[in-house]
Amino acid sequence: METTEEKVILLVEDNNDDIALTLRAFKKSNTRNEIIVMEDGELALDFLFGKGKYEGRDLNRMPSLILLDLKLPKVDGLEVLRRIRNEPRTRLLPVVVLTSSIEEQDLIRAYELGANSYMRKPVDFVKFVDAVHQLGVYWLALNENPPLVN
Amino acid sequence: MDIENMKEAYIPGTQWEVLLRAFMNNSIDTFCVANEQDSIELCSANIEQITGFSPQQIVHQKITSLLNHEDIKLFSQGESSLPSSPSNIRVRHKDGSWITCVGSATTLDNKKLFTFRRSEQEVPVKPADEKLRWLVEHTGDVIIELDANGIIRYVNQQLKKILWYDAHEVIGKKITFLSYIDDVTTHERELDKIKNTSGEPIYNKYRLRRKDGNIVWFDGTITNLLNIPAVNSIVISQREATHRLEHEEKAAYILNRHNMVLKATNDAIWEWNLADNKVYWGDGVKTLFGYDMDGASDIFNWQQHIHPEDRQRVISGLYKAINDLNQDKWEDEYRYVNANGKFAYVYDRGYIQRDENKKVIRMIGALQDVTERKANEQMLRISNERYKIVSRATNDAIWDWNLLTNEVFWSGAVKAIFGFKEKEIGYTNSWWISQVHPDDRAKLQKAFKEVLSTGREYLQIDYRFMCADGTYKYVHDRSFVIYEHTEAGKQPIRMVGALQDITQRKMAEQEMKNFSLLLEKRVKERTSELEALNNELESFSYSVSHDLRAPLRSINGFSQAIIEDYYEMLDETGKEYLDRIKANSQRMANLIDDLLKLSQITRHQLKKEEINLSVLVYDIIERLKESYDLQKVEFKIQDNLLVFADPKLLNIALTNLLDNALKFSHKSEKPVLIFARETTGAFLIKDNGIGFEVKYVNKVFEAFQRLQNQPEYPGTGIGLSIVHRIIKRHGGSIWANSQPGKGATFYFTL
Repeated sequence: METTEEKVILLVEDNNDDIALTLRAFKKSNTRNEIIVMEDGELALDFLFGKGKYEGRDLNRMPSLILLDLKLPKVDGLEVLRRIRNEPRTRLLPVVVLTSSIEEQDLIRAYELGANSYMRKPVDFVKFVDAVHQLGVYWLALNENPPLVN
Repeated sequence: MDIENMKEAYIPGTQWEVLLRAFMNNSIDTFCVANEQDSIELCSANIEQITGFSPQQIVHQKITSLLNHEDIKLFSQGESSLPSSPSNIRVRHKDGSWITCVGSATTLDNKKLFTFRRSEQEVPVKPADEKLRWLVEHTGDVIIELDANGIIRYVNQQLKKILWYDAHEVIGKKITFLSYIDDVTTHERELDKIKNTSGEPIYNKYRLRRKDGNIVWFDGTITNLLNIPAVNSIVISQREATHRLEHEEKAAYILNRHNMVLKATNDAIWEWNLADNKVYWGDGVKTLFGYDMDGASDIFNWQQHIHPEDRQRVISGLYKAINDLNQDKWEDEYRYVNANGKFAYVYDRGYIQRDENKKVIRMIGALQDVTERKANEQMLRISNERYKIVSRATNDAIWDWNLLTNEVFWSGAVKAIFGFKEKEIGYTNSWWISQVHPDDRAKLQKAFKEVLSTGREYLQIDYRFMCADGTYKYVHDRSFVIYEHTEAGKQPIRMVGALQDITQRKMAEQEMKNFSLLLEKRVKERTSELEALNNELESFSYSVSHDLRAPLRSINGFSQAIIEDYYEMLDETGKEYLDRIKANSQRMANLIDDLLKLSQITRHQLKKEEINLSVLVYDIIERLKESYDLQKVEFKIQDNLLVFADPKLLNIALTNLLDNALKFSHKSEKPVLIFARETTGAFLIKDNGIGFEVKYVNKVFEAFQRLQNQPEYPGTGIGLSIVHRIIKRHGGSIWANSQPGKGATFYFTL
């Protein structure tokens, strides 16, 4: 069983600024976990399923938390979510939708597709750091991860 | 007289002759001798005394001119040369009467000798049975003899002649055998009554039945002679009276009828005798005019009774007829004064009787009171006038269809509506149908048929009618049927209606239809436009949600990063500027969020349900406690305020309103917040905060309008415009009232 520090976070985000800011927010909140960044949906799926560029990857090493933006190039965020939930290996993985959208449709659809949580990225950076901190505390420290599926 | 015997008392020839002549002429008896041809050869002088004829006048005449032919039978009675016994004989007088004489006759060789003298008294001699029989047989009457029981004993020859029965067919039968079936009982009663009389002939009328069944009327006598031993019968002596009785009956009937007619007629019959200018009036003049015109009045009297205005005209008309030799009739109408002094309308007609020189001798005529008829004519005239006026006033073509003759009358409007000239109009039902549009003909005829056969009264139907120029006009036909009530039931005899030109209306209807179709099409187009727009808006909002905020995040984030990481290298101003940058990016984010909220309100599908606003308000206040310290605030919230509205939107609206109210008032000394409903139905939220100037009240609802810029009262100014939009979407209205320093009241209706 992984320790909290050993848990890996998968960040699926296309916006460079957002990536920079999110990583900075984690740093500021003292989250030292490894953060893997995938910049589009396809890459994220390849990584998760061990396809394409990530062929041969050790699929026993799954992220403990997936932070998923909705607006992604190639494969859209909701579609990524759908596929994650379809695949037995990744079906139970905690997915937090992290997005700027407050559209009700997105909210509903995300939950329908099996998102565990939905969080809106605040514009104010300070608030953002705070939110990220809470995320980390909760999902990595408090939350019980599901077992890996072979 | 035997000549041989005469020879014995022979006197010399001429002496004998003179003696004989003297004897003949001086005897009180009259002597006549007739030859074989029955011509009188010789006659005594005293024949003149009895008969008024002189011997010269008698000689060469036939015996029958002197003696009654019945009595001539005397000559054959006795033996040839013996004189007959004295008997009554009738001798004709010159003046035609019969003189009863007594005399006898004899035949000598072939000559007939008879002598007679005037009788003082008839020789009481029993008429010979044969004579009697002959009399009875040959009388014109039917003679019937009945016994006491009414059985026929004897009938004379006349029975056969008149009733066609032979004697043997009736003798032995009761008299009622000859009675008509209806009279049998009457006759039997008569018979019984007769038996109580004695010898007196009873006069009466009877009808008897001829052998072929026809009736023959008789009148005559029936005499009870049962008590006369020589007769011992009831004797009926009847003469055929069929024609006479019939005639009498007919006359009586005619008279009766005539009387009835006279009583029925209202005419006053008059007769004007032009010779003496006198006028004779019948009864009618009394019943009609109340005048007692017994006897004659004169022509001037009649003239004076004519209404002065009509007099001249009538009199000259009358004389014109009289003076026109070919005229035999006259008639006129005028007013005649009656006994009450009132004038009656009369119609007078007369027949002019002229002699062979064409001179008028007499006029006969009848006056008829036509006052009532005149009144009716007047009413009819008025009614016709009225009809004509109405007919002209209405734009409808009025028609009148005689169902029995199929003639149709059209009012003048039919020309005006359809442009017909008089001669183009057919006054028949078939012309009418030919003018109806072919496609509508079947429908129209079916409708007529249905109404007429079911006994309905009213019919309304639309169809097209061809104008004079060949185009068609739409008409609305309203009509009703007039029925005649006979024993066979209700018969439709006439239909009256009005045709209304509804072409304009129909065209308008058509345009309306076209227009509404067009509208629908436009609405559909607009809706799809709107839908497209909405979709665009959706995607826009979506983009905005993502695309606009991300850069803001970056601005804010890296500004903060600079502040944090390069803290020592920045002076106060630097830090301040970066703070401003951060603040503005935040503000922009808020603005974007608000706009998104606003657009969401617009896009949101209204789902109305019953909401308890009071409860909602309480909930919102609970939430707002996180934002404001509400300990000091006094809440006055009316309970159970129910509305039918979209809960989500109402939540947003009330949140905004309450947030506003609390924002501007929670810092006051004694903040009071009121939520209530007025009697008008409007809701209100009242606070006693800083208020605003009323003249800016409209601005308050505009997006992003802030009426103060103090940082203690944060907000983008979108709140009220969101509320405004929500209220508007519910079809309600919102307004506000305020005084600076005295708080504000927001009202809204849903």
